[in-house]
Amino acid sequence: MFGFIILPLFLINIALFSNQHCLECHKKVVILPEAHGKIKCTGCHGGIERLPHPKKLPDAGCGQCHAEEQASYEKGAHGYSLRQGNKAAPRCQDCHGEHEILPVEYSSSPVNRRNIPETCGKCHKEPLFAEKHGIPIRNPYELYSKSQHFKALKQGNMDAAVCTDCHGVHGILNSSQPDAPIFRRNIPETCSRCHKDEFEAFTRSIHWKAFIKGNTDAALCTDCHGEHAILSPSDTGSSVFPTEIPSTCISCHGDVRLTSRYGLPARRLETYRASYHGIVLKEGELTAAHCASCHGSHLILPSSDTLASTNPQNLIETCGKCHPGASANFVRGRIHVEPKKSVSPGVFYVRIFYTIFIGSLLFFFILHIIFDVRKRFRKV
Amino acid sequence: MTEKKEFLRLDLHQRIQHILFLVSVTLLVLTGIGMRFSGSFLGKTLIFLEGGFKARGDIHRFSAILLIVTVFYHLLYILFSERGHKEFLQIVLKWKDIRDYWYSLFYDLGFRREKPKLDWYCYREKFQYWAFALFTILMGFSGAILWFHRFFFSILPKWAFDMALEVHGWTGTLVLIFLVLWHLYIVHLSPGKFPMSKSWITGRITLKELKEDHEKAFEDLLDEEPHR
Repeated sequence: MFGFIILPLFLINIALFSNQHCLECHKKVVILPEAHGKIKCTGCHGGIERLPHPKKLPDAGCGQCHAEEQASYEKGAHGYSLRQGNKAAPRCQDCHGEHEILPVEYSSSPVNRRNIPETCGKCHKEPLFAEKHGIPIRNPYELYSKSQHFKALKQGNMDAAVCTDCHGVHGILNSSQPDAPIFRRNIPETCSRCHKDEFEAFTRSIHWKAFIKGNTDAALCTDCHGEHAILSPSDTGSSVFPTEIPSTCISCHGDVRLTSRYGLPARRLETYRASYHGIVLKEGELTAAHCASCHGSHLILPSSDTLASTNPQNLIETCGKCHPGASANFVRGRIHVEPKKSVSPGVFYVRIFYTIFIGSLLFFFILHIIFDVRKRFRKV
Repeated sequence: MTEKKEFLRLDLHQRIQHILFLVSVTLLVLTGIGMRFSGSFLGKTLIFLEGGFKARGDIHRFSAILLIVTVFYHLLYILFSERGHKEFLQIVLKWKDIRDYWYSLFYDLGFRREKPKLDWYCYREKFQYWAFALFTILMGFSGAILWFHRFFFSILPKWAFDMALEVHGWTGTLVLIFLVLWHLYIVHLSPGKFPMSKSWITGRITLKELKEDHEKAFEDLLDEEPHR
């Protein structure tokens, strides 16, 4: 009988708790009006039956209202890590703040776009932290802070990509998970959210076509451009700065394992470096043709494709970009010259002739000198 | 005439031609090596000394013009001066020169007792002269294709440029070998000539040198004397 009277009273008792009651003890806590101003303390902090409440309370139940974010969080690496008992795993408040939570639009919110790199960086700038938790990239914050994305963000471009744009927000997945935006197959689409034209061109390229046919070694965005420390192509340190392009392409096209596996033409870098283009580019002549000048950048096609800039039909136009006089006659002959009978017979025979000629000449000259010296010393 | 200790070997025109040729070819070779071995320490050092990659090219092309000017000077000298004309007729290759070369070699080896009597211009000078004439033509044509590639793009196929580049580079190497092992050896380094034969500056050759190196010419001079 008593139970029927006590229970309603008890419920009324809880309902009667107001923030004033809490602030009597928790004097320093400030709830900013912008986000959670109308929520009572007990709206987040469950488990308070009477006052004073027990010292240890359950976590604030953000998921009661933010169910979607909570579900996403639990699927992600951070949520997984927390379930595994990792005390360092970030929870809602580690990114969003505790009582002084602000709406994301406010520039001082830690989850406002401009502050995201620093917020993630709280943990992900510490190599020892990465080591302890087995995170493969040790200092992504430092790498990112060199990037064009970061530079643009600091210059006030709020569209510049921050951590969450590529990695996701609450449900951050690591790159081995097929749903992750940074899963290898998903990278082009992730980049395409901002770089639409490049994506459109890239999806028509041999790199992408090969990839979706199962060649997981085929180059995707990050293979040429880099990841966290991505730089503008006009930046001298960029992997796609003109002088750096040959070494970037050659990381795959000069790799014996890859060229033999996929039957790619070999000796591309050597033949390029030995050419006039290669020499003057290395000497800092930035207008000299490099790989992308002829083969294209995002829309690279094999020369057998009639749409390829390197297809024999299109060479006049491609060479003509720099050499307006290039004629149908000019484009005869190989671009990647190899002193082989089958590739560049002219160069091959010139080299053979000179090697033999210079060799025998050297022989006669040295012979002549030896006899001459002998004779003259004998006389003296 | 025999009392005279020295004879005119090279007149002022010839000496000027030689110096112009020397300067232009040396610059061409040095800047050319810089380009051919641009990746190596040697090439980098040369390019640095030549004032950078762009300056290297400018020096190379300037020297090429100087060489072409020298070639025309030389041609005019041969065609329109009496001495030039006569000298040229003496440097034309004959079968005797090839025979002289082998006989000299056999003599040096001890297979022949008699030393061949060499002309006013012997195989040593003739080989140099004609080799450098050939090199200049080869370098001139291949170099012009590379220099004026914009013009030639509309005429020549790509493989012709590749060959021109190949010929230019290898002939350059050949020039260097010829210069060092033949020319510089004969006039500077060979015993008896060291540190150098002064003919290219004074234009004169001593009686002793003439008798030693050009015995046939020496005898001709003695024969000529009574008729003068």
